[in-house]
Amino acid sequence: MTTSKKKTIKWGFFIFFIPVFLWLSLLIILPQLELLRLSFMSTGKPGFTFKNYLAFFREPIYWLTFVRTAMYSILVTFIVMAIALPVSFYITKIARVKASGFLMVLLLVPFWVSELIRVYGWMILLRESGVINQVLVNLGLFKQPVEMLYNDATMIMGLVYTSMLFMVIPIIGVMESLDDSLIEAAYDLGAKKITIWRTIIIPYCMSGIISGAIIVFMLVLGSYLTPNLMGGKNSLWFTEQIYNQIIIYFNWNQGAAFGFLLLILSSLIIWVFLKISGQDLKKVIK
Amino acid sequence: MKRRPSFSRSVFFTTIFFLSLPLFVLVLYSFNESKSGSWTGFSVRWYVKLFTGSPQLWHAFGNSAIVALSSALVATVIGTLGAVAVNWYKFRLRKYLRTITFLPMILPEIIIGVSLLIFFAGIGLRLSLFTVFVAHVSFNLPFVFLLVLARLEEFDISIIEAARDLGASETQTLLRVILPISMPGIVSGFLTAVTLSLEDFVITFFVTGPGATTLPLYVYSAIRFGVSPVINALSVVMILGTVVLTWSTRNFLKYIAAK
Repeated sequence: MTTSKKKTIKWGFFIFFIPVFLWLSLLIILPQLELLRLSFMSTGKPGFTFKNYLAFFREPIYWLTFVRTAMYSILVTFIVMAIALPVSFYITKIARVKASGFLMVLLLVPFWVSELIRVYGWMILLRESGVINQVLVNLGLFKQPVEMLYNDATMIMGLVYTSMLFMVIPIIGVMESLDDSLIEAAYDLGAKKITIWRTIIIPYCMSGIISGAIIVFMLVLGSYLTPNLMGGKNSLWFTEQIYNQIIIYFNWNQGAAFGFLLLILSSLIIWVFLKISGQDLKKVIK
Repeated sequence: MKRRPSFSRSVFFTTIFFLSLPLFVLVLYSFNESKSGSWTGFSVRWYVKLFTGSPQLWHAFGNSAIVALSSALVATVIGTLGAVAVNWYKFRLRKYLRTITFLPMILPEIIIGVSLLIFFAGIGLRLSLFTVFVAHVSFNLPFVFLLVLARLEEFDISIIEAARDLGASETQTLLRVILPISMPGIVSGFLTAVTLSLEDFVITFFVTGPGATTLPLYVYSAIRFGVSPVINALSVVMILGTVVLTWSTRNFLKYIAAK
């Protein structure tokens, strides 16, 4: 579609244009700018200051949480990738065509349910008086119940659980178009499975993997519920630091600075992902 | 292509098991007689309590329903108008409009929540169900906009020109051609907006005020501060609700696409 075919502006145009323009400018763009401004301010003192950003680097608890959150988000992204590849491969290449529709529904249904309820399901399973403990104690495998919630491993599992679909869908999208005969030919020529994965399947699916990785990373980095409900006292997520500053300490300037640091980190890592793969962000989100 | 028992198959079925286990346990334990993790017998008492003895929960549900429907409606109207503007007219701010509709989808939710909280405080707006509504429209709008725009863009624009050449007025073209064309996008946009709004926790968390608890907020505090099996029963009802809603949305869209 060429732009030359588009109509030129008449006043009726503004009925279409003005509402969305005003709404998003006022309620998305303006608040972001205000957040940025606040992050360079200090309560009670006029003028600009870098105090809030300096506090982040001076206070180890802040930047350690930040680094840990980033590291764990990358770790979760890789775990999700490692699971999503064989899962997508099974559904597109191995499962019978008739079955794959049903299997896809099995895969999707858990993600139709809200994150809060899925996390709650895990809490019922894992908590000290929870289902798994009951079963293990009754079987005599455990002498007494063990608290399996509130630690890093459980939290990471929860994050993998809540974000997995966003890797599976883009990979399936790409893998569907991979020609089976390529894999068959490699088999016939004596290639090992690992070689086939490394030289055929993974390179072919790279665009899907990168899209999935970016979405998963963004979601995990910015997630609040799962770390908050499944993580322990020592597994604070950076979003919880933001929450603490804003709601508990009522230090909005500090919270605003943290918010921007989170934004910078997520944009930076996404930019690196895109650079490595040479992709376009708009394509990725679609 | 069928091969010997594969690694992929075992990962696949382990994953399915892992994905459905917590949901299965929720359903099972919602029928458990006792409050604790051990199974003491079948009972529907938590369902009875859910439907008859939980006024606060239903108040929260009411709030959620009001916010979801109203914000989805407003987002759908504004988003559709915007998509038509971008598709139909040429103007200087098109690029800007595409960027700002894209932004809320990539910003971390917590940043949208915090910035709106600060903004509302800055303009002196008291936190209430109204601020929740405004916030929900803001994050729903881009989804409706993009879904309607995608629908319009995949359609041949010459049909609009044909309508104009055959003498249809601008209003007629809009109502008789563009509106029907974009209907599947509008419907899926609206339903997506309702779902997103019903499920949102983080943004609502920051912009809600006294008395304006939504269902996810209620569930969160119930989970956080003590376990009540009523929440299990509620979860099952919500699981059923979302599955039915999503299922019918998908079939409805398929039906429209097939027409």
